[in-house]
Amino acid sequence: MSGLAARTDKLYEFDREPVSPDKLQSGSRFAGLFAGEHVAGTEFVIGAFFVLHGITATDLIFGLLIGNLLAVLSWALLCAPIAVDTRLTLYWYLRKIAGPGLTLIYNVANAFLYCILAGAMMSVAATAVGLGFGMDTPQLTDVYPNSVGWVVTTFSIGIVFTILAILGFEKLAKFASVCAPWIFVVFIAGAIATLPDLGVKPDLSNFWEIARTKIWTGVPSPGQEQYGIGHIIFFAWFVNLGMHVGLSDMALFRYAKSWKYGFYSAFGMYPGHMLAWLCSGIMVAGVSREMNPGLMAYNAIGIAGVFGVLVAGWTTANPTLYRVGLAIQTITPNWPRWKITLAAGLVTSVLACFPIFFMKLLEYVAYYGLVLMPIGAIVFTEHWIFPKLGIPRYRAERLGQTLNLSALVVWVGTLVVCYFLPIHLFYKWLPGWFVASISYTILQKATAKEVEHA
Amino acid sequence: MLRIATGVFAAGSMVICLWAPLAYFLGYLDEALCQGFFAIGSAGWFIAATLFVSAKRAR
Repeated sequence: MSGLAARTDKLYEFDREPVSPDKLQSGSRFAGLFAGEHVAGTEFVIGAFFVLHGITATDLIFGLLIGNLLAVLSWALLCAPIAVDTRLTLYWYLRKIAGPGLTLIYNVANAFLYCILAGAMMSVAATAVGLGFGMDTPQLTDVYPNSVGWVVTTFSIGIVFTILAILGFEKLAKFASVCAPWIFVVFIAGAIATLPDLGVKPDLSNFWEIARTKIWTGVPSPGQEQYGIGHIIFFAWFVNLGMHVGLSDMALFRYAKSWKYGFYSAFGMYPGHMLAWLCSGIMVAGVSREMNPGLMAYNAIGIAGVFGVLVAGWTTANPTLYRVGLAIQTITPNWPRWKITLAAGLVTSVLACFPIFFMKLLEYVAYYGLVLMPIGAIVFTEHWIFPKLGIPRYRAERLGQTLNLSALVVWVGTLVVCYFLPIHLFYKWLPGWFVASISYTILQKATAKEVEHA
Repeated sequence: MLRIATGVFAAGSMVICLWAPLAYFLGYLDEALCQGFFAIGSAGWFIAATLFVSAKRAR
């Protein structure tokens, strides 16, 4: 474990030191970053699923307004203050608290979760490419691939994405940044071009009526669970849970001049998530609620729209594959980067063939946030609560521990408690956060003397 | 100069991308023309944005 942890440390060596004042970035940079990062391939699926889950127009709009506000507040009040205070990434701060062993486990868990996300994006891109071959897209309830065509298309796309990632991540990342504003326009243009098909008049006089009766009707598609405003509020809040409450965006906000820069996340939440989800909802209504992002975009804006879905899927999968590679690098010593990316890409391409990850994206996002949330709670408690209660901080660093066992127990224990909580999956993380914070405080308080004597 | 020119070109392309579906919605364009203009605007955006980034890097 300590050998593996040492290799992980070496990998992240470049950002070991706190950010120096001359490296701090302007607010507009944060606004741009958030605006670009939060309009991705996933948005084609999420907004469409809201329609399929039978949300009403009013519930959706108010749910998104409130949920996105809660997400912005989580960035501004939870994540940014700790990042600005420490000027460290979550990796290095967690290492002080929980030891290099736990950061290693966290990294591997994160890599596995990233694999599934990248796989879902390959599936989204496959719906675009498959249009050209008249391929059957999997049904909403499909778990396994429904045709040879789907497997061949999805796996081929996965291999192409992997090869592109091997050829040069950095150059492609720069190209992806060029794509971001255009992808945003694809959503807007797609929605506008779908409105006449739905019967919206040019003066918009019947827009609200159409929105209520043909788009967000309040009636779920067969086999889909009915969603209400609570589901939407919580979904919009937790969709980036790992980043704000889970604190992984400390990597970003350590460059902020003030914690108030957390409010710049609103540029990603409102013009990004909210608008893109509304637009993809309109587009799916234009294709009679068929969950096929490629078809949705093609129906709205033609071949350029199909290209938009492909590019959106790729620009989301590409950095994700890179992150998976980084995390796996720690457990595959002496492997060159291309081999690691190839291995990660192959695993991801196989996962992409299973439509369950794409068709259950909302549930997957909930699990993703839930798994990483206890780590955020542990770091938050250690940073803000422990000094107030007089509990010594940075146990792993002070005792020279490879793994802070109580942090691991709290992490696993919280997930077990959440599993048994008799509430909807979307709501589980919130009580879970308090369970993690309180149990970690109690455990550390009970064993505080060990650290004081060290 | 190249940066300014490509910046204007990119912005113009983006305007075309937004104008085409809007014109279709208002009934000034048919669907095929809307999709055609959107494709032209998109191609323009990628050319201009790529040139803009290259010019910025060269500087």
